[in-house]
Amino acid sequence: MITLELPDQTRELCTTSGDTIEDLLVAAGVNPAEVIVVRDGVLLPEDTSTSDGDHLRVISIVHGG
Amino acid sequence: MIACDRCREPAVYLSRRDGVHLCGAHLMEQVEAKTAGMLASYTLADDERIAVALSGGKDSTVLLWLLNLLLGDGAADRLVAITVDEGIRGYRDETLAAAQHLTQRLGINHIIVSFQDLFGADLDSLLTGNQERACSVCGVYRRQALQQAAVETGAGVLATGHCLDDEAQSVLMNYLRGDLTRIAGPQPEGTGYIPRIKPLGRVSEREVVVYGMVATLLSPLPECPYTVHALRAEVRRALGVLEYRFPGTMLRIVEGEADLKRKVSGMVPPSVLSRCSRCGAPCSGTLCQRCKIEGLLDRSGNVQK
Repeated sequence: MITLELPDQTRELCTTSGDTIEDLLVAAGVNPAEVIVVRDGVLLPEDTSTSDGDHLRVISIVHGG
Repeated sequence: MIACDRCREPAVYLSRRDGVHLCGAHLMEQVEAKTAGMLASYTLADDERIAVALSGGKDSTVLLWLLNLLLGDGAADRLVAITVDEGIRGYRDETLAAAQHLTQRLGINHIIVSFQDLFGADLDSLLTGNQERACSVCGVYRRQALQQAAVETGAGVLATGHCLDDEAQSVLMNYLRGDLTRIAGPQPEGTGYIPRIKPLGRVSEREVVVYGMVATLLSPLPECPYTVHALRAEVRRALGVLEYRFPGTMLRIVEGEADLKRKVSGMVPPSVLSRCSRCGAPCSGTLCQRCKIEGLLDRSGNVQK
């Protein structure tokens, strides 16, 4: 199981491992060009493959003001 | 683990436009090189004072950090940060504190001006019942506040944290508004107007955020509550989709606009600024945008019927 922690604080659980971060974001309706993703405090490119047990924090790059 | 294409260290960033993976150090090197390139494209005197619009958000934080780095010895003497406190409850206090923390860390002079002090009312009061006009009203007041403060510091230019994404959005918005002067004309000219420079103009918003995180400059900050009302928010979403599907779209838009301006140079005259007949601020007509807005609003900030 992979957990995506989305910018709106909701969580999405993904059962497919082996997919890339980009695949999971698109499936969750998130534009990969508008976020960065952190795993265990480390920034990752979106073409990184995911593994079972991953907890991915998705951070929006878009902020007003 | 995906390796950096330059050194084989773990990559933190994928440049979607060219498929290049970069580690933190090489991403920082790339951002610094792009910013240095933009800075070199402006004609600045060696000792020219640079006012920096510092909201305390990610873009202006990274901008001030980079200017301090790139200007080298004496940077703190040339730079002066200006923060405008619009008076937005639940938003500005935190970013103001972040701005103060950064300028103290870098030893840079910091000036804070407020809508309340300059114009007699904060943004929340000005917008009662008119939240959908927030960004246009705030933009007009904020530009005037920054200009006024920059003049008082003796700065020759005003640097803003607009990044590539902001610039691409602005180009598209100018087309949507049919604003030929802004599409193809040069910067306004006239007395009392400090020219603006945008050193992050070729650095994408993702690069800014990754740079700020790698350099440990950023902490989570609230989003301006009025952003959702802006035309810019619509344009941002549309461009974000295009950038994902066709990487490099934003850079092509911005470079295309710069190319257009070079090719039609002299054909579209700049706005020649005079003084507002009501408040004396630089403006292109007889009344500045702020005074026009105030003429439309009653004393409670509501649009007059």
